[in-house]
Amino acid sequence: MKRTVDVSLPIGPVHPVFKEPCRIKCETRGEYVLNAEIELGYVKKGIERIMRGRPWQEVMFLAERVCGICSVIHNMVFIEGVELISDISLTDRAAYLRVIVNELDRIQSHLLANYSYCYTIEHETLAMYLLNLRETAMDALERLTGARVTCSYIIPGGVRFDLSEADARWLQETVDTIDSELTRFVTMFKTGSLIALRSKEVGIFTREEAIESHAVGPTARASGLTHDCRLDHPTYRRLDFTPVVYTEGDNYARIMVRFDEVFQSTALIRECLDRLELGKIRGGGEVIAGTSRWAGEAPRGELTYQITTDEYGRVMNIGIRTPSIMNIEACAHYMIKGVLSAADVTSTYISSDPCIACNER
Amino acid sequence: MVEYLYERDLSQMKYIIVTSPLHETVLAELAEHYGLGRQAIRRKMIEECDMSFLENIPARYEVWKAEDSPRDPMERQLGMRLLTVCIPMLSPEEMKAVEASVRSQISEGIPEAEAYEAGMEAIREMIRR
Amino acid sequence: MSRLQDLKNTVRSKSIHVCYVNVGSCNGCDIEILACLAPRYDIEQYGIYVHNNPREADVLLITGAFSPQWEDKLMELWEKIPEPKVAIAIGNCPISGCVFNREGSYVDPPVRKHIPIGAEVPGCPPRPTEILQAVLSLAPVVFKDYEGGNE
Ligand code: SF4
Repeated sequence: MKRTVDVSLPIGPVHPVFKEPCRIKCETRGEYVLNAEIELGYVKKGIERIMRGRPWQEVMFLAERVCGICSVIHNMVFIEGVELISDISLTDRAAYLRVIVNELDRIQSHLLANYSYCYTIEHETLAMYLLNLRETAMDALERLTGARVTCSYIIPGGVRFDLSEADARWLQETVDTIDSELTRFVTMFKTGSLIALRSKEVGIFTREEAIESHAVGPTARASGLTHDCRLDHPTYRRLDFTPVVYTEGDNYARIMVRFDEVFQSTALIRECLDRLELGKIRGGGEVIAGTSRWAGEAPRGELTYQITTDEYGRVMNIGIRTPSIMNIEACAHYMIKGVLSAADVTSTYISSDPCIACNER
Repeated sequence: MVEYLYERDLSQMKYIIVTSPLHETVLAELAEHYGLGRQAIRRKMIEECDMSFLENIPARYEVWKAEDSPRDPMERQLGMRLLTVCIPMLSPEEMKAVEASVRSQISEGIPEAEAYEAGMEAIREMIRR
Repeated sequence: MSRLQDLKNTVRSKSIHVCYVNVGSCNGCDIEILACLAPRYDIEQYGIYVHNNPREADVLLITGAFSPQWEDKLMELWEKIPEPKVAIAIGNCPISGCVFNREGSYVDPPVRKHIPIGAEVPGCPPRPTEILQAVLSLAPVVFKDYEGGNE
């Protein structure tokens, strides 16, 4: 294969817009990007290897540290996988509390993702607004679970802490604040002409490509796929909710999906708070030997854990498939290819909300 | 391809990626289907794919498996799409040649099983190379 | 000379450029550093500017447990930073390896083996205020009376 390549442009590993180290290697003709490749390996830790042969009590904390941004969902999917093996049941109150914490985590993560995008396209005002709003969500998370990040709130058979009456009221108010503030910011985003220029019809990702690369989460939903793992989750099925879907498949759509999902999350939290009835937050049970495969919807998409335990409750084998694996691949090979300027490479990359720590484990 | 000024040999890092538990499952299936050693397939993958691609191999393999059929038996046997689009280990031209030769053999009256076997042998050759 | 020195000290303590680098963390510490940027903590009111560009940095924040790919790159990065400079390890990961320091993992902590570390902020992850405090209390000490080329 012979191609005319003007410049090969490596971006990274340490770059002002990247939160995490990775290296994008672009081949460009003029400003047009012909091809892109992503080089990883800067945060490889080998978590799956460490997990093998350890009791679940330990693996639970390791699972959370696969990704610090969406730690709640890693905790949740791992524990639900273990519950599935051992047939441990869950009280209603605990199930709803799990959903509340998970949705708070999603709000926090989506706001961070959109902050990074706005920051990358140099709209710092909006970025700072979003980052400040994220602190509100972090406060709620801290008040409920006792920690800002890596809170290990979810344990087999229930959750760690109960939600007091006063906290529930406070949470309701917080959620209302998030809603009203974010409405303002979304209007800013929708009407900003700079934003439209930098985001609309940039980094197009079609439905067919999404299917081929198995893209998941907001990245896929911005390209018209309806897949959302929450639809298969027993607790979410009791709640009223339909996935947010856009069909444009450009940067703008991906950011808007996330904004809309924040509103959806606040609605879900409100609904859970309404349904919350007094009761126990913990059941009992014993972890037994078995194998399970369980998926949950992380902020970035489908997260799958494949767990094998033995009769002492040790994890004998574990495979983790995080959403970023699919999304980063899709981003490198479909979205970045064909963007018109090198400046769009970084913004397109950030719009798919990549999380390298997840990707490499 | 272009030469980069500073480039490390990444094969060690890539090897780490293709030995994760999920990759092992996929590799076992591929190795059994094509009658090749896992190490040979790994080598070919490492040569042909970049790192983000390697990470995504289990998901892409699943996509191929779930692709809506009636899948034609030839695709199931030789995995043309699998090896060129889903996990691009071979170039489309190479695959086309194999496909054409298998098709011509079948039309010449050679039994299907035999023709497929010849096609598989050709693929094996290319992966080992 | 001393008045000039005073002036330099004041200016330096009011303009600290920060670069952060993730050498194999779980992202938990990284987002806490990012949270420092939020108007709630407002890192810029102290004259700290997060650049993420090693060539103009004074302070290097390191998160993560040191993965093998950084072997040569971290030292290179450290050398790119102009004097006076200091590195701060954020979180348990660069200090001890946190949960990742087990048999069979690929990481190689502590980071202090690889480059000189000026201060360590433990926590998994530490709160944004703790990070802020570490930078604020360390930077003036390191930059005080620095004269380039003296050593
Ligand atoms: S110290 Fe904890 S939160 Fe920070 S990077 Fe390490 S594991 Fe993650």
